Amino acid sequence: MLVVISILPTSWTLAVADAVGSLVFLILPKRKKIAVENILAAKIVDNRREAARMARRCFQSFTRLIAESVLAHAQITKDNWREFVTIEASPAVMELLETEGLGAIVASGHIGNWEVAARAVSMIKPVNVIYRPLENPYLERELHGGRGAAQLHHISKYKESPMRFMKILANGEMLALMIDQHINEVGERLRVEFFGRPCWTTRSVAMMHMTMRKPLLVACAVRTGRMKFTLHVTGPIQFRRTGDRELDARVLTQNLTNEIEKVARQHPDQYLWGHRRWQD
Amino acid sequence: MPRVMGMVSPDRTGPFPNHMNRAQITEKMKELLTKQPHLNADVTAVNESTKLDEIGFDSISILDFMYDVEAQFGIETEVADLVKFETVKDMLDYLQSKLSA
Repeated sequence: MLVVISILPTSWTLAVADAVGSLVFLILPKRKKIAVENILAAKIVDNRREAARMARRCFQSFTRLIAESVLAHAQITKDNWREFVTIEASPAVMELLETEGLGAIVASGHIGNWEVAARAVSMIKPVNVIYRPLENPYLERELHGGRGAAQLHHISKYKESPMRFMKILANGEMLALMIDQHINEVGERLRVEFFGRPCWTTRSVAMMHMTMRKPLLVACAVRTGRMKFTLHVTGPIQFRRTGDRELDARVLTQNLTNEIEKVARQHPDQYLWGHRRWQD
Repeated sequence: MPRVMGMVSPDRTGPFPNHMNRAQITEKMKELLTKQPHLNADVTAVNESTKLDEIGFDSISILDFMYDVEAQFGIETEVADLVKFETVKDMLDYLQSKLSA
């Protein structure tokens, strides 16, 4: 597929991506089942047929993400990124983004195209994305291997020293993490409600904000057209600590999760429903 | 304007320890280390020359620890200062300077 991306016009590339998404939907019954069950449990639709249609669109959304990310690497530059990505944010957020030396923590979710969003913002100031390496080495290489940009860095959460993330923020850079993935590591997780169901998520965003006192944003990029995206940014959020570390982390993380859920409800066909999100 | 979440209340769990000497601050720090549920630090082996890397912090446990240190001592740390810490001595020097300020 990636060879195809490099030689076809954009519209054809995206059409091929959609076709691949439909194919993947058919040949991965386990993932399809997970997606359908998650959509129904979230009460996005109320029947299995509609849930299956939506699940297929979400598979297409993911294969589109891969194609768009490859295209973005070739097409998006410092001079033209605004032709691809519109940022919807408060004046305070825009000032934060445009002021050199002001770092921020960004919580995001698996919706739309989070990769293109990170690339666009990196055209304004350095963005460091902490990620969990994908299990599929092929996808991992294509999404995270060498497709950074001058100011866009992907950092595996397993490889860095504890001070690295602090240094990034101290340097006035952006630090971005996804907060809607299941977390296995006991010391790293806490329980929140997402679409009305309990699940585990990372407590690291809340702890970073409360300890380092850097501004906190929630950002989600939804697809609005062919290689067109709107980045919805909420914030800057300032959380006042009570001294009860675990309670504070849970309350703040729940608030952030609610913001992700809000966007996912508005654009459910662009959310990654095929992930085993709700686990004990 | 930033969106404010959470309660507005004092963020301090202990008495303001500006009368504590270095040995007492060290003991309090070790106590906080033992209370970190996911950090298996051998506190008996920790001394001023111990490097923070050797204590076994990961990116979460160090944040947990700093939150508890701030709450215990009633101080606010600056991330620009935190990134300079290499040893326990660096941290103790910093705490002493914050408490005597």
